[in-house]
Amino acid sequence: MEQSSFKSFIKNNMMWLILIGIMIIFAILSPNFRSFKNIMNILTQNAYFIITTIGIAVIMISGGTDLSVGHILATAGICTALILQSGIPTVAAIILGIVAGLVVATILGAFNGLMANTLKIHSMIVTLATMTMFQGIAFIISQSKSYYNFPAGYLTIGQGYVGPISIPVIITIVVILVIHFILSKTCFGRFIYAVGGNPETARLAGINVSKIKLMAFGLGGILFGIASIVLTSRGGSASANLAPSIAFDGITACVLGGVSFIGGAGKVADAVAGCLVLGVLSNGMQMVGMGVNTQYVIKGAILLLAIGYDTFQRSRQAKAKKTA
Amino acid sequence: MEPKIVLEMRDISKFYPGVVALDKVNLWVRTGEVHALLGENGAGKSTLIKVLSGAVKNDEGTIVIDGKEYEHMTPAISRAEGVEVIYQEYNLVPWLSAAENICLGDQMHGIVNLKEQVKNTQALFDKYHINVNPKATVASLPPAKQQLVEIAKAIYKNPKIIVMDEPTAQLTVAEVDNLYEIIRNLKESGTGIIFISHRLEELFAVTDCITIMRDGQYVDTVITSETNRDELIRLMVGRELKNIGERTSMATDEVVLEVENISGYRNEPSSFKLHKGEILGFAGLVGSGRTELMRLIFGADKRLSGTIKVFGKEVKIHSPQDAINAGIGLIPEDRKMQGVFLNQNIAWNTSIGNIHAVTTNGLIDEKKIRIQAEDYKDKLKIKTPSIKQLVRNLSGGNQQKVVLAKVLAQNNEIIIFDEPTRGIDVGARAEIYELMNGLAEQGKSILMVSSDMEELLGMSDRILVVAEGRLTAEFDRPEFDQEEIMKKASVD
Repeated sequence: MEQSSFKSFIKNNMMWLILIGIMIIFAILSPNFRSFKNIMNILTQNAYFIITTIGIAVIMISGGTDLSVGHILATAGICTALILQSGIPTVAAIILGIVAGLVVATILGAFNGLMANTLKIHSMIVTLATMTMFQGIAFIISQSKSYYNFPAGYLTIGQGYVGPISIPVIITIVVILVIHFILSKTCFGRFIYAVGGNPETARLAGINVSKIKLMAFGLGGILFGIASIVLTSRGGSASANLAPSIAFDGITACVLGGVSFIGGAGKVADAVAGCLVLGVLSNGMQMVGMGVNTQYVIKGAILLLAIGYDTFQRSRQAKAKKTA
Repeated sequence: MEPKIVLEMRDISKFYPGVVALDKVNLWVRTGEVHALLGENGAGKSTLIKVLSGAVKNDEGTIVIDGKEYEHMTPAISRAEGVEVIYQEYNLVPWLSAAENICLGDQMHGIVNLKEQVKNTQALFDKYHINVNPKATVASLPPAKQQLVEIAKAIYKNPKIIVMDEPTAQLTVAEVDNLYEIIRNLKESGTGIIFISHRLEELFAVTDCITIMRDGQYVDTVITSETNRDELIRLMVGRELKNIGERTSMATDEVVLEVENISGYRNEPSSFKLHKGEILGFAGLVGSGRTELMRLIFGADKRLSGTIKVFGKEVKIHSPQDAINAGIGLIPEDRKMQGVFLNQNIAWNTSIGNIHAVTTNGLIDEKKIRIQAEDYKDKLKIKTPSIKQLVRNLSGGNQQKVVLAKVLAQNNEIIIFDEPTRGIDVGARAEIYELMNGLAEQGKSILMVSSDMEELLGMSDRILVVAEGRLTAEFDRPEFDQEEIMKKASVD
């Protein structure tokens, strides 16, 4: 019954070990890959993706899913852009723009949770619908235009550096630490796991399940807002097509990182590892000169392998227990 | 046809960590025989059936079907050897028609021929006088008809052995007669039938012989026509109320809980009082509304009317949270679905019901969680190598103790136990009784729903009987009488 500590170490750190393995392979294949500049570049490029994925992870741990993420990011980004270009004084515009982005993303995120609660349908279905809704909203308020020419102060958020470390990476690290703290140290965090693990047991244990779910969606929304700001300030533009496929990439990274699709299990660090595996793969494959379409095939294959291995392990464990 | 032994299960044993589920159990079934399997909940009947169907692998013993010997079954072998099990839960595809469900196995090769299926099904229904339209979608049929389809589906495969697990639970009187006729037909065609039921009168109506099991052990096989009710009960229970013994009542006159005219969608207005230190038992048939009544008090379901007073003061209970704040705790009926978080460890589960007890400056304190869990592990004798063990890996009895730990950590004055020992081995059961007595001694008050008569009679200071959502009778301990209670619990 007792697993050896070596085996459980491997099991618990699977994604990180895969990440290291992939990095070693690319480092051997491509000298450009192993430069500090490239590594920092990978992290900076993926900052908004990691932050978004952590938001999705929080929602998934609470037993939900958010497919509308991409359009939340876009809607929030457009609101920020509209304020940045509204002609009010620059400093005020930047502050108001950031606040507006965060508030809009939080409201849209919480709206998903609210609908899932009141309509009593799974958030997967809810966000399938709101995804379309939010997309429409993004196109309406942007009038299908793209926005450029943001003030330099705003662009610093996405493009600036503190020493050798880029600001997006610093923001990402802060987000990782804060969310890890919330999930592992606060009652709210504990309740997110409870609600995702077994909502009925949670309710009978005296936990306000709807409230916790709503708050998890809201917290996800805040993170989507932060991701939107990082993304628009780094790219210097915002439009309704800001990040169309990020929901699926984020869910993929979560699943890779062992965040349970049915809720109640998962760690921030592992979701981050999932993101990095995907990010490093894209970057590395580009570095060694692989075509985009080949990259898709390899990414998909790795996902299949990682999840397949996990499930295989688990069913073997279950069998071992039955015959014990 | 000369009857011969079609199934022989010899010295079947099955061990789970800490529990012997089956201990050298024997069962012989002849062709054309209706053989009842009788025993209390947890006697091991379902495990034995699962061994036969290949769902559970026995650790010892052999299974002989029609002369072929197997060490253990697999679902495929079991099917191939002609064993069909009709489970209590439906195994039908709800959006397919009765005919499609019945012929589901035929579709493996080639194209589905709907006409042919309907024709075959109609022929089967005609033969057994089953009054169901083969084209009707299963979901559109009432539960009783679904049960008949389920039975027809098993018969369609021409099995050598059919297992019927509580087949009459959903049926009306007319349909039960229908079922008896089906059984007689099957007998004539030489099928061996294993019949599981708690209703003794049914056993006398249809079975040829009865094998009795108790606590995972084979007790005896008797011929139905040569036995009687009293003997069966004696064989089935087989023990005096020794697990519980004489307990001294701790009940006082002080009223801690007063429920007045409380009603819900399935409960008519009910009123009762609970005293300090009292264990108040609720008797009734499954589905009579006992659990629902508890859930109304606990705020888990919507209350339509009524008031709840705790220590003489009216409390507003609209959610479990409100109930816990008012000092009421619940050990729910369904341990796995409502009581524990299977994928979390013992310590995590223990702390979740009262998280504020394990925080320091508002933050979760792992050390406090550990100390609390170790404390309850010792107090409740939870058998585990570590409090970090996932609850999933514990036996039923230990899981139930984790639920108890979680609720006790809330420090409630009133605790509702809904089926406190269902599916738990004898040892853990005695420990839970001891604990309930200890709680009463400390002045806590207990509401207990139980379908186990021994438990009800042994543990309660007073018993209220629930039937069809109404309180129908009250018995004080000196007046306890099993038959009287059953009479009040049955609906006429």
